[in-house]
Amino acid sequence: MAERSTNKVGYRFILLVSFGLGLVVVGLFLSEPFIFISVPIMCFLGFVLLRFKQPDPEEIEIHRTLERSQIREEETCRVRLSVTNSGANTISFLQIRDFLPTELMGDNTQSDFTTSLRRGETKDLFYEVRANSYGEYYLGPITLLAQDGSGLVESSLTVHSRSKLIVLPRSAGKLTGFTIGPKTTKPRPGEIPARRIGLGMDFHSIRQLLPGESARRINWRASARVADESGNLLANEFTDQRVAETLIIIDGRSGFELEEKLDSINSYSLRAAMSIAERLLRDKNRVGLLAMGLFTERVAPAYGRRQFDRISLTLARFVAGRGSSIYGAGSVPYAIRYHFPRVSQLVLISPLMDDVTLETAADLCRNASTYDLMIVSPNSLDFPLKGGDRRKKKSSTRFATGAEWRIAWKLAKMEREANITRLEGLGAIVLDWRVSDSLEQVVAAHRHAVARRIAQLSHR
Amino acid sequence: MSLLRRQDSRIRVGLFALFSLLLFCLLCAMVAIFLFAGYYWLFVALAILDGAAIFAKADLIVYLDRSVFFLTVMIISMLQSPLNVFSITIEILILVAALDFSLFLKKLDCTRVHSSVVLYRLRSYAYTVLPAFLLTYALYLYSFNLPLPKFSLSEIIIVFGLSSVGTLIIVYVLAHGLLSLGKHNVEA
Repeated sequence: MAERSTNKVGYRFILLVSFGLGLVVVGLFLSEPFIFISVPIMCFLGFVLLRFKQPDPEEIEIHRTLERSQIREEETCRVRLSVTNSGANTISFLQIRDFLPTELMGDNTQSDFTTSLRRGETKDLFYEVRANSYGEYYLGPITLLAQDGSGLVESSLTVHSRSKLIVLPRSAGKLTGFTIGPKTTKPRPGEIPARRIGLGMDFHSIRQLLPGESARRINWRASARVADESGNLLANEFTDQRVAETLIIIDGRSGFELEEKLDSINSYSLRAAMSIAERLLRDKNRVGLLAMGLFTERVAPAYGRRQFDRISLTLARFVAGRGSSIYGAGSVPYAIRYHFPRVSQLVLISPLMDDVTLETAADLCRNASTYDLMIVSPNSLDFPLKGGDRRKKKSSTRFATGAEWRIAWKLAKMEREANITRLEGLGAIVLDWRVSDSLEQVVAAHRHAVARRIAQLSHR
Repeated sequence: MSLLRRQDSRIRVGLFALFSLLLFCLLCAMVAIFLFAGYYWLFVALAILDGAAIFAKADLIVYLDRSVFFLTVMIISMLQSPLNVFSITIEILILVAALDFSLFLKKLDCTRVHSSVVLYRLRSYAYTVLPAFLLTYALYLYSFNLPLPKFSLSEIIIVFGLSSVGTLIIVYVLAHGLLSLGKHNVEA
């Protein structure tokens, strides 16, 4: 769809005509040399008018094609503009501007072109966009500016051509040691040690060897220890490994924004969600998503690569904000019961920065009769300390002096530690993630603690 | 970050804008050195103003500054040597073409430019500036051989008044009529 073109006489034309005629007038009043100056100008204008052909941008067809419709953060995408002059005249000056959101502007992004087009000619113009931040973006509109050969008259046209480009959030890295231990599992083989005997790898118990069983199951040491005349042998029992139905909950309210979108605490939450979803789906679990920001987004639990794409797309469209209606103490457990009744493991990703969040997390722990709760918490206190120059800038702008800053930081840290201890006391597994470290490092550091916690919870 | 980028793009001046500024500065320097050394301060001031306007992205000031430059050079050269018709004609047309080309370069700023655009513009001077020079020179030679009429003061005032009104009307008619003329040409 295109607007009607607007025609405008250029400044140069008006100035030259004004000069020429003005000099004639002055020349008449004062002396004839001034009239002489006007003669070449008038002659020049006369020859320009003889050659004048008004360019018509409405005769230009333009199409935009994107190399890919989805890219990840920090990736680039090539865009092709195909321009055709279907008019009767050559356009000697055509300026094409494709408007882009600033989030797609890279160092090499140049979406403005100046070219010429002969009658019937088609030109392909290419440029590159770089995704600086996740989200759903629209390229366009395109403006065309055509000038006649001498540049005295210009016509402009806006083509409302829009192309959608989805930028998926990048993940916080591949997680290798991430484990969950829900109470209930699904009857399908997977990677999660179930609380029942089966064909897994983890030791469960010892029992008497039954006739016909494989000799590889015999626990020789235990058999020797309890050896009697009957010659009964003991065999190892292993825990079963199954899949679970998990739900990732993202708490993304705008009050938590400490930086702009690219480096915000919410962006870290989304990256963590991507990594965890990828890991859980790779382990053949059913994974769902509940993202609470300006709007509440839900993805029903499912398996496989397509589910990961669904979750990625939902996260790309996620907008942080306080509009979420279901967020509040008591509402989230109800939403989980209503929308995700069979879920056995919750992964709450939240910076745990306010009382509402803490009460909600505590509420989830109290209601956790059918599910287990793991909290991944990007550490909001880590943000002002990140980077050398930035730290100086932050500390100088946000706080009056260094001493006040240190006291405030210590108090906030103590409060956070107390809150985490309280949630752990209520039965949650909390991963405190300093965002300057990778999530994989944090998972590795907490690995034994998480395993111990899972074992404790499973014996309750 | 987006705000920073916007501020950055406001400050950034492209290569073509710099070329345009260089061309104008070159013109100012040549005029100040070779033609009117006594008025060099005026041309230095105009060049500085032009540079500031380009860096501030104030297009209107650039246009006005270059117009003042053109008018100044014309008036000074007419006052200094009113009868040197050949040099004045060349001077005017060179200035028109050079200033036009410098403004054209400014228009190309911050875009990817196909070389054909520049070639088309340079070629257009062959159809406008060169014939204009020849015609002007022929008209000058012809007019110097004609006896000039003498006017009284009252006649000059009447002519001045009528011409002023006429000038404004012609500028208006040409500006708007040119567009419809162009339409007719395209349809034809």
